Amino acid sequence: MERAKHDPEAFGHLYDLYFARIYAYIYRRTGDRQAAEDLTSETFTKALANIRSYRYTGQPFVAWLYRIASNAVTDYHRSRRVTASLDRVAPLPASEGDPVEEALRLDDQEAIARAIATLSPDQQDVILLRFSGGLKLREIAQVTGKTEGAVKALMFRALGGLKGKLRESGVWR
Amino acid sequence: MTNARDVHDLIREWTGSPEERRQLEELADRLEEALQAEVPYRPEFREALRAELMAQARRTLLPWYRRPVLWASTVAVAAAAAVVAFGLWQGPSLLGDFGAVPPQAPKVAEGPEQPGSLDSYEHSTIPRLSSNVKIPVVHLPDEVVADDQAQPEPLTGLDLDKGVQVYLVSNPADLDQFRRVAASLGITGQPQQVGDGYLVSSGGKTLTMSADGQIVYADSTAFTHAGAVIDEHGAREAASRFLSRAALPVPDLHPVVTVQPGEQGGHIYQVTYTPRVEGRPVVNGRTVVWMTDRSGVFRAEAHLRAQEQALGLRPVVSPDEAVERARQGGGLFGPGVDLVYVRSVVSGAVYLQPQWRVFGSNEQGQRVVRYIPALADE
Repeated sequence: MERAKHDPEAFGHLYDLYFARIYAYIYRRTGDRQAAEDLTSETFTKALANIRSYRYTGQPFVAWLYRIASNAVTDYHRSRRVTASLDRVAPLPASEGDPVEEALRLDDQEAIARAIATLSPDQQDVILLRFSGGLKLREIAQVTGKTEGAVKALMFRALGGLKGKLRESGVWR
Repeated sequence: MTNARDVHDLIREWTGSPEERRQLEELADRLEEALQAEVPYRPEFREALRAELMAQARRTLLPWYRRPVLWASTVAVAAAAAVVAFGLWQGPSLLGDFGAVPPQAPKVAEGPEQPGSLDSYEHSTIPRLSSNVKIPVVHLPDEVVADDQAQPEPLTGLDLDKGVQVYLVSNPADLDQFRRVAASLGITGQPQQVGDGYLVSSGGKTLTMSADGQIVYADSTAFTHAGAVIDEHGAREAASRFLSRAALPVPDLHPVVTVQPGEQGGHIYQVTYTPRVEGRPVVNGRTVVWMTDRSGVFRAEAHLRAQEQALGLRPVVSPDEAVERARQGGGLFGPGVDLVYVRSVVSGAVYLQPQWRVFGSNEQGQRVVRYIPALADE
């Protein structure tokens, strides 16, 4: 990480490592492919512009990236005053395997994506940073600027909300 | 599912009812599985953004880079314009249809009429070229070098009074060969034309080819590779295996391996091969393979196999003159100097032209090499 402050190639490695995760996070927060590209570009450009001021304070570099991405998404929603349209949540890529199982898996993923889109922005952030981003609850607290207790509360309420939404959609029994 | 253990702990902490706890834990596991799935993205966007960021990184992270690049691009544009204006380039375009379609409208490449063979590029048509064709000079930015690399190679085997050979690379961006490399790396699908190059992608792997025949491979799944932990020797072997599997040239028997800490523990190995022409290194034609310490190759840059056509010996400026020119650009340079080849793309043609590499330090005190065009009559 320290090398990336003065070595373009090292920065390129960080990009290779985290591009897909940051893009996935932004896409799931916005439900819009064009916005995902714009905000991913904005995230890495800001990261490059500020990389020399990055200091390791116990949270991984990717948590710092997520914080930039999260702020970008917040600004995006604020400027447009819209929330992700449920219709715009595209199906996730297919994988090889039994077509029936694959269809069920995609149904499951779509239902989950739609349910997440109904949560509050803070709850979406906590769910996606934890399950899509792989951050620990303590790291999510650092990314979002909240206390760990507040993150736990958001997570618990989000899980309860998702359970209810998935029940309504028939995916959860 | 053990990956959601911290969430399970939270659920246990916050839930009294065993049934409620079981349901929320099951939900957490389903979220874990569903949200770990890859979200599809446009590979051309990923590569274009990377290229833009790398250019920006070179400008902002390397203080010595800005001035030479501006100078080089100005000279290159002027040189290219001069070639067109004076009609010195007499052959057909080497690059066929490249660039015919704007980047906004990628199209699927036509399939080959017949299956290509590995020999097809070796017998490709060489454009009509006079041996007197002028080679527009290119200028490279200074390159920072490590202390142990700051030694010039001896100028043995050269007869500078007779001149130095110049080469034209024929058919550098062969689409059939590109297809074969993609297939051998397990990338399926039809290449799409993007700008003046091609791109093919599947299963988290992407392969691009630029108009000068440089290919870039990226595998976003490599970080999950669970092979045995390797050392530097293992990295060298893994890189060699990768190039062989991809039917790409292994241009150097003694590649340089560098190691850096991985972001998530472990190490990242960079294996760099430097090809040689006339016994001299081609400094911007390197093949580089990056991998995790479990030999998961996540990125590689290389050039397709291509035939080099000698255009004849050309007079060169003397090493002393090169050192003098290097000093005129500021910094402390010389007496160390050697001769290298530079891959240059001008007006759609790819040349290998000699350059002097002068060792020294720039105005910021960094150890660098400065490239001085060697051709005397261009």
